[in-house]
Amino acid sequence: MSKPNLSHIVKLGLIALVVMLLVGNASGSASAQATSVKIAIMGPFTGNAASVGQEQLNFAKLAVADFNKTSGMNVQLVEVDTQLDAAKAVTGAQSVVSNNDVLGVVGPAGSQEIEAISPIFAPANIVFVSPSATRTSLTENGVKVFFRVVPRDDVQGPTDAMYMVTALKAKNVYVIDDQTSYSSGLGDEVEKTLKGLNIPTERDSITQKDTDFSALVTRMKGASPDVIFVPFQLANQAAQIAKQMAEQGLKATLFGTDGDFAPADFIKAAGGATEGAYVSFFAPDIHGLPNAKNVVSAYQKQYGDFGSFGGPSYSATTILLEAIQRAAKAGTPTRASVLAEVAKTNDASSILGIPIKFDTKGDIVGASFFIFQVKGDNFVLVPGAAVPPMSATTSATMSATMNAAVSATVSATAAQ
Amino acid sequence: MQAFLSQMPQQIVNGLTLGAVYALIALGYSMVYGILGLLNFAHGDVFMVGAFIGYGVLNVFVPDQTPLIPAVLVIVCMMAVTMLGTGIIGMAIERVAYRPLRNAPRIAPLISALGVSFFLQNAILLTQSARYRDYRTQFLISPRLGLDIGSAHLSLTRALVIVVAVLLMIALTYFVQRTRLGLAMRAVSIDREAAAMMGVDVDRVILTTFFIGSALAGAAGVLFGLVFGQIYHFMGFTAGLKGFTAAVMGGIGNIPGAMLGGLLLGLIETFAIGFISPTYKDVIAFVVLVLVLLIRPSGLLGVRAPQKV
Repeated sequence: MSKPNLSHIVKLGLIALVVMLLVGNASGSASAQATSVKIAIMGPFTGNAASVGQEQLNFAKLAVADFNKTSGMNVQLVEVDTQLDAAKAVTGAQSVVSNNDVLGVVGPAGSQEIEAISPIFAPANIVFVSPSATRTSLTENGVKVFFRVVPRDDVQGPTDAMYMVTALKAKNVYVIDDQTSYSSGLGDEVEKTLKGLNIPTERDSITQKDTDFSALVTRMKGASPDVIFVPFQLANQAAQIAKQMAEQGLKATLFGTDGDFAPADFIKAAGGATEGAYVSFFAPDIHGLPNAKNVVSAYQKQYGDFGSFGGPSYSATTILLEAIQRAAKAGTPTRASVLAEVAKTNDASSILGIPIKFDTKGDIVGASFFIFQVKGDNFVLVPGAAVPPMSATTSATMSATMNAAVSATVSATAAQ
Repeated sequence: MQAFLSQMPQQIVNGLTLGAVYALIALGYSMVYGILGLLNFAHGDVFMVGAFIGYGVLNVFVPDQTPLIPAVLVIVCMMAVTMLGTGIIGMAIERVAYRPLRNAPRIAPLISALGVSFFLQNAILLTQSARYRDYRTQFLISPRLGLDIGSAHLSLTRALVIVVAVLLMIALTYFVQRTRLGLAMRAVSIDREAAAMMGVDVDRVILTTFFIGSALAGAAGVLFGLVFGQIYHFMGFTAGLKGFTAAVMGGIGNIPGAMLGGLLLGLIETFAIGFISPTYKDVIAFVVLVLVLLIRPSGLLGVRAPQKV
């Protein structure tokens, strides 16, 4: 650089001054007046799980728009992309905490992310409501700021395992997880229950980046399973496995969970290979629910079709917004008052078709699991398969009874 | 042992299919490295773009469930359009991102390549959205069509992938060994300045290399879509990594090496999944890579460059 002359310095100084004024104005107005009330949404908007994140995001946007319309408030949504990655979630969480306008958070989506950011949100007293994380340990560690609108794996796991043994009469099960916190947690629960019932279980895993499952299917053929349990976050991977099974002639019943409940990815993309497969899911299909009709048609008009992750996202966002509304009645809403209001949530109805109330740990009370079967182009609810969550004692008693019944049957058959 | 033997034929079929796709991607890496000494990290994303172009062509000819023209023609069309498209994209990338940096330190074009990679991924993400796209191959080739060889089932789609890949590799070998332009390419890869002094148009040769390498990646993208069904904007990352691994394993800069490396990697990965553990398939594949490099540092077919003292 040539030797600095006076006009150079003056020009730089002027530019710096203008920039400082602009920046100062922007942040100054935020802290001085706190006119803008904001909530943040964290989710995998890009990356491998982007189809999940985009759906959660769009439903959240819809919820904010609907709320602003009916309440007259002007809440803004801050988008924080985590790509389902714990490290990115940490950076995102720190930026949320330092943004004083943000009073609450929807998300993140993945259990592994929540484990990473709880130590950041907890001291900042900022409430976060997840629409999709089901790992049991998340509400068992005393974190007071975390809530979720979906039931836990320690309920879904045994439920699914029991169904496989009693209704599907499985004698041999192959469990495949996709190495995420959610999937391996749920896989563990199911494997534990099945082993407790003396059902031979194989366990393997794939990653979310895999596209070719032909080798895995050939390997499974060697084990001849009756049921293949695939608790994936990405439904198209399960559909791909189904296609490979059809191609190689492996006849087994496919049983998926939550993330597999995506008609476009699990049914259409499989071209008929998933016919008759089962999926257990933590909410009813809101496409058919009377409570959700307006939301469904509004979403379809603006964004197109959707899978399973959107409904709970809308619900979580609405819970947060209504808490802010109630907190605002008592004065300017703060993170602490919003947190308190979320804990007090008591909605008689919601678009998920169930009332919303949280227990002391942050879990939603009374959520059920529903088991669907693929028939034609749709998921059809299996009649009588809405299972209310079991308490730990009921689960243990049921296991013991099942154990006795199964071993009795086994020995009776063996004796013949 | 019984399980091993009964699964083996099917796993070989699986491995060859995967290997064929890897080989096509590896070829592009090897060719560009051989000529420019550059690792084209955007190559995997060219593969991904190729898959999407093929998807676009497919949607034109198969709007719903029945193809508007015979399936064979649809596939030929997909391949032709995609290869042309990705070839042109490859040439554009060379012109815009690498040529200005030809005399810069080696790290500059590498970073540029990463930039192109991000650009391509996000361009597709923004224009195509994040949803997985499905090739719906079942409407072109019935999934039940195939051959039973022993305990293996070779579906028509897989056979198609393997055959097309082999044909492309034969065509490439013929081109490189028997044509003038191929001769020029080999000359430039040995010594760029000497080739220029002998009257070879180096810029044109490099453009051709990029065209061919990217066209092969595009072809791999279409074949991948046909046999594995689903494509998305981020798939180039893993595919590129595997292609690169295959190229290195076979000897980077070496065309037959890339083909061998690709096929081997496909087989190793498949056998690892089938007989050891699906969870550790990547670990096993990369351990094999490390072992190969320890024993033969230039890769399996690589030739040690003479050390000039």
